[in-house]
Amino acid sequence: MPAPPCGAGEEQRGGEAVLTRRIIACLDVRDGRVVKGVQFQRLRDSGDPVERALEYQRQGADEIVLLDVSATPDRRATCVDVVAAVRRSLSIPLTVGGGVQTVADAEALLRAGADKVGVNSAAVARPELLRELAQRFGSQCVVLAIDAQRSTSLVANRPPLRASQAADSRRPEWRIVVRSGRERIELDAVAWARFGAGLGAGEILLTSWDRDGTAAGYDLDLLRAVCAAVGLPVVASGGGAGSEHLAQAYAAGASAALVASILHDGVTTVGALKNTLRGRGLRLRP
Amino acid sequence: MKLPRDSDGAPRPSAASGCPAPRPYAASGRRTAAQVVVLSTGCANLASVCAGLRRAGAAPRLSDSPAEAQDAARVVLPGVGSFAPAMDALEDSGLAAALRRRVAAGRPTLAICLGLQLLSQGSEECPGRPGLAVVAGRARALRTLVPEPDAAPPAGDGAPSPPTVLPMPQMGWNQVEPDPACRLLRPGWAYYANGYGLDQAPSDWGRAWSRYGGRFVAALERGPLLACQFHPELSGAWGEDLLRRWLHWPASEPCQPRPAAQARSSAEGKRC
Repeated sequence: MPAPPCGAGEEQRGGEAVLTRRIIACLDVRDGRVVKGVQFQRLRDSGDPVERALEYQRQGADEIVLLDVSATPDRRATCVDVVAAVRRSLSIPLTVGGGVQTVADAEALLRAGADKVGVNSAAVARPELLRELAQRFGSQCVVLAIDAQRSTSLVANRPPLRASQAADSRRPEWRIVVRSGRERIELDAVAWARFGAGLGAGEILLTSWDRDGTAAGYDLDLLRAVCAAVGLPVVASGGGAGSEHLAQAYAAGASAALVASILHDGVTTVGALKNTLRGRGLRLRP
Repeated sequence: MKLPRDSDGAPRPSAASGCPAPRPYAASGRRTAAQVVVLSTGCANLASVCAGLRRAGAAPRLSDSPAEAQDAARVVLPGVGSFAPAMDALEDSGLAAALRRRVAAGRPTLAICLGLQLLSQGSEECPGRPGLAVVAGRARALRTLVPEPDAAPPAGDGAPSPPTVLPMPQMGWNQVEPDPACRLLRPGWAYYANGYGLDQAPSDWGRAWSRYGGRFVAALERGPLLACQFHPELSGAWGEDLLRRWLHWPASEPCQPRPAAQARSSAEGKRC
């Protein structure tokens, strides 16, 4: 057998620890339509959520994430009808987030057919929400969505923070952004991830605000720091625009990588991404 | 439109066993959808489970009635959450006793995720809290599983590689490998969301396995009894096919354990 390509080592070892990486298709939904923007702004129409979700399922997506991007700024109820419509046909996991403020909000989404619920701003405002959700529904249902912005003033001066340093740092390397980018908070993203994991989150959806929609690749320093700080599965989000970016995210510790624009725009398909990644020795579902 | 003669849904007796033959998977519009009672245990993803059953052609209905849990034609025990609260809910509602009798009688039952663990004797998640104990074995934390000794060593060098730290809980897809004796379960990929699992399973059940660090029980089957650690309702076309096979499995089939050697041998092994 030919030697696997460089970087393939960890995925193929004997019968021991083997992690199947995931590719997750993300649908940002506003007013019942899929939209996509840059750094959460300048949204443009990318189709019908049910059609998009089923197309990505056909392509081999491992999960669908549906984010109601209008919910938080507008304080509108989340799009329960869209969730129910997607659920009727979709036979892979569905995570829904956007504007979830309370246990009752989460319950409404789960009742509509979501498998996991993402919380973001509301958990920052009141972390206890994470514990309440985990107690009520189980950690498997609770996704802590974190939007992180790099503090550029610090980056030039030193290498990426180690996890142990992050907890003690007074000047965060990445700050939390809430309300779809409208508000920045002096809260260290890595410390927040660790805190949220302790409260009962079952997965971290980690979005780089700086990279979102830029096709510049995931923020690998951010991924490494968060993956070192929590034992939970971490989903890389923001900037992924090709198989090379996904491979980098997995190497940095991500269990899954989120993609959106490149699928919406037809630049590539989930199947094509998986084929390339499998050629690099990564384990993915066929 | 003229329908084929045998499309009224009446199960035809099988010559070999007297059991009704499994219905074809693609039910026509005229056929009555399989009635399924989904036990409303207060767990989170009931709607998703029901949607999955509907996609597989069933007509699911929620119920928390012990009488139905015991006697309904087909029952699903879904499960997301923690072991002890789930057992408390089952005991308090009277569903626990009903489920024990139902499984003992071999009535068609599908347990999902935590549902499988609830059938066992207990879980490391909540030591001292007994489960329904209809399946011998206990759930262990996946992080404590170790690779099987016979697992293939890494190619090239003989030195054992340091174990990769796997994220917990397991959240994602994994390969399912059924023992040859399995009839409902087939090889494929399934979606998991679990931090615990059975590391051993009794040999009087058909068993399927997955690996996450070490080997754990992916699913158990015995006649029309099916317990899945994974989520068949979220496992794509493979999961949907499994749900269909379970929905169409003859309810009256007895579920005696078969010797493993026989199971491999023939198509006749399809009947108990």
